[in-house]
Amino acid sequence: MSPRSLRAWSWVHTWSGLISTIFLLLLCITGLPLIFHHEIGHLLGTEVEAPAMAEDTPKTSVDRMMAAANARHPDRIVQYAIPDEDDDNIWFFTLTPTPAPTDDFRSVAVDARTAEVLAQPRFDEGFMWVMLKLHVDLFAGLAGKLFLGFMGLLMLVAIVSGVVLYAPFMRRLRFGEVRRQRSTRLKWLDLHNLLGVVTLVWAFVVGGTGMINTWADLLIKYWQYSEVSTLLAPYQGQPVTPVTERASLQRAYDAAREHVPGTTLSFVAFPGTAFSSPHHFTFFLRGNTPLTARLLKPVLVDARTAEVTAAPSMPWYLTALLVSQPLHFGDYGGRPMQILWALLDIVTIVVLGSGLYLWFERRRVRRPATADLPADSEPRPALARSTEAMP
Amino acid sequence: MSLWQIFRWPFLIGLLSLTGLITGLVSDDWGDAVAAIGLGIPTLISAWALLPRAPR
Repeated sequence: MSPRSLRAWSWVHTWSGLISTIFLLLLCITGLPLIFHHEIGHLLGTEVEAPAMAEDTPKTSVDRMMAAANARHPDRIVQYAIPDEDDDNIWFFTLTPTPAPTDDFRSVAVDARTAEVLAQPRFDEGFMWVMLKLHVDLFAGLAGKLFLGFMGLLMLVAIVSGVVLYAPFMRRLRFGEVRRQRSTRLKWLDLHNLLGVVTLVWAFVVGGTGMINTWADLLIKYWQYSEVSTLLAPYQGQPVTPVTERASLQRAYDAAREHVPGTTLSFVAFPGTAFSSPHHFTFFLRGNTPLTARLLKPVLVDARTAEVTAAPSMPWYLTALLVSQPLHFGDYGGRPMQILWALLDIVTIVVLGSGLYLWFERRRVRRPATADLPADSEPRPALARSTEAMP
Repeated sequence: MSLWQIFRWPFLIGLLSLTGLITGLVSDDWGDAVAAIGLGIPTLISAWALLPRAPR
């Protein structure tokens, strides 16, 4: 590699890393408790648990459950109904003042066997909520998401440029060699290179999928605009189906399941909400294998007649989004995977922190007025620094 | 050192990580085991590198 290219790549690596480091540190730190959100919820007593009953206790109707939830907030409407992923005896109902997206929501957990309200958990307060909001959008909505997505892109640029720079730095070092006996800066340079290169694929995948996730709102909007709107042409000009004119939710649910057998309900979006049309209950069904359980099949059921209008296939970009989510969350391999995810997250924090330290050290070494520098850290041109890194 | 000599270990570790990430997605039993190995190796190398050493 020519000195000019080396300088250029070094500049790209330094600045893509520096600009994004503070935000990536924030993402790594807030992401750490989110890996264990179920466990932390159990510990804090905020997880809802269904009372023990006989295994074969039959389920009640979804309409009864919805009525029980709505009775707690009669001034609100149901936006979403979501069976608990780990225990289908619990359903969560999200209630808001209008069908429009809002942060003003209430959640009601209902027992699917007795239609009794189990709890009214608040997902919009507390430590985990703060962690989630900082991690997802910095409390800034879509703008915050897109900003963090850009930071993710800078992280990918820093990783690629780091790989390019790895070769000239490692030309005379054995893999895994860390020069601990020389200066602290050299030790951390070697550690930064080693930790960065061994966690490279994981960091690239988690960073890349995180970036894709920040586009979720836009991708869903695009899908609704480009594909779902065609399916809804016959309903054009009609207002949101009033609650009083809606068919039984249970009937609509049965129709959706009959249309796509062998699937499990992920969630129901009610008419007029962001994930549905003004005239449909949209049932998002998932498969039952490890991979298909991540993919959703939307079934639009007419809210007045409870008849299936359409079950469009998810476009490739939404399929990619859904597959990317577990690769970001690390929630698909049980407890060992959670622990590895957390450890790799910590290693990434070390890589980011050491990168920051190396940059500060380089600036300190460069400053000519600094009198108390060690002998081996005199100011040198950029390229000399790379050769200095060699034994 | 040639490029291959420099990158052979990082390449192998990267390949293992990628295999682990993907197999964990497609299988719940053997896939999880492969995932644990694939991601466990870079984690172990990192932990080994960060272990404090007594000065020689």
